[in-house]
Amino acid sequence: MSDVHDRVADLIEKRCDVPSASIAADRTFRTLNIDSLTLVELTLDVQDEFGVQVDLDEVEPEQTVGELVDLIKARAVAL
Amino acid sequence: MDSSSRVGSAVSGVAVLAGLGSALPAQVVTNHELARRLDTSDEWILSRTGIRQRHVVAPGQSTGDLAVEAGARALESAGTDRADLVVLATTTPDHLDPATAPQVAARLGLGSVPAFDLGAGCAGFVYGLSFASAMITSGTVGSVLLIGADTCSTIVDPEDRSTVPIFGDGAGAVWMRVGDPAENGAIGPVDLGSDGELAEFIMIAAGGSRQRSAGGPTADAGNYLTMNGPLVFKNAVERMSSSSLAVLERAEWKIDEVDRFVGHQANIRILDAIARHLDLPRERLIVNIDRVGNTGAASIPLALAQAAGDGFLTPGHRLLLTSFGSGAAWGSAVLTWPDVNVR
Repeated sequence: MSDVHDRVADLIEKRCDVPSASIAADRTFRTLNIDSLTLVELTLDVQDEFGVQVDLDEVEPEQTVGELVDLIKARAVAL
Repeated sequence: MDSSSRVGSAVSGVAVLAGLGSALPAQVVTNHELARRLDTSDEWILSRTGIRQRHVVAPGQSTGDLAVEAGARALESAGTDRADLVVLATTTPDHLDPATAPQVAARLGLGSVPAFDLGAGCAGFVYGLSFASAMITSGTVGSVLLIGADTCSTIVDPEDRSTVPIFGDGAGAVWMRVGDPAENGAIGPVDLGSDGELAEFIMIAAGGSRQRSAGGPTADAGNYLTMNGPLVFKNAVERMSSSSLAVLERAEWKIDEVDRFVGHQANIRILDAIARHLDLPRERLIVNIDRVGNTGAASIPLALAQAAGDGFLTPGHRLLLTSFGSGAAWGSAVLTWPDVNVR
């Protein structure tokens, strides 16, 4: 597990009360019971945490945590 | 003396807020009542928005009626019966034409003063503050009655569970005069912006020239407000945050010098997200969305009036106001709280 994944998992845990250790890379946001409003809030959290811009159409309920992690890694200048 | 002769002859200075009034229609609709006729629940509405109830106009009651009521209270609060200019920020005028402001001015007995409606969605009040402040600071007028009023219940589809619970009706008004920058109530820098690329995010498609030139109104075409919730949420947080930071920089205030944060009351989770992003202590937020819902351009002055009534505002407090609305348009402003008797 990468540091980026751990930080994203921590953000999800704070939002959804799901233990971060149980958030595998292949989990979709939908299976984590993250509704559309929470997904927006999580996107904002990710922007603040990593200093990256993420559009809402890049973070859809059927996407996985791993896909978000990859997006962050591709965008962040330094992690 | 005809009050219109005051324009262009005022002493210059800065704009100072010296009167505040508000108005809410009598009828209250709770979440429980909505849950009886829409596929929704009190728990769902409360958890997603922070709203418990909203006020709704009676049949035939209009935005102008609420504006007159709030305006009269603001004048009374200021201890005056004059204003050199009336600005009504609204998205729900009494009619498409004429503007509602002249009739509001007439009903308030203000004479033939300049009066116009200002359309900037939920950012209308802050846009109005900026304009009023500039008119006073430039010496063009000596006083302004600025009213933010909306009857959002009249523009939401009564069957739409995604918009009906969010919106409410109300009006808030401030009376501003020329004064000293060191006075409590002095309006500071304002930051405004717009992004027309977001025009379709919050829209009433029907009734305007776009539709009329294509064949005119029809029974079912876009007569009600539509809103892209997630995109509005994200853009609101981002723009209100960045605009707040811009105005604080102009005012040379640090974030921890802000005593009270007055965000447009669209959704409690938007306000929480902004507070988190700005590192602003949650207890400094003024929140009344639970009682009134999203009242459009009335939101900020209504929140100020209720906070003052609750004893949450002290003269000299440093206030940060911020808003985002259809257009899209956004605006932020700072002021110090005056020693004012709110009506």
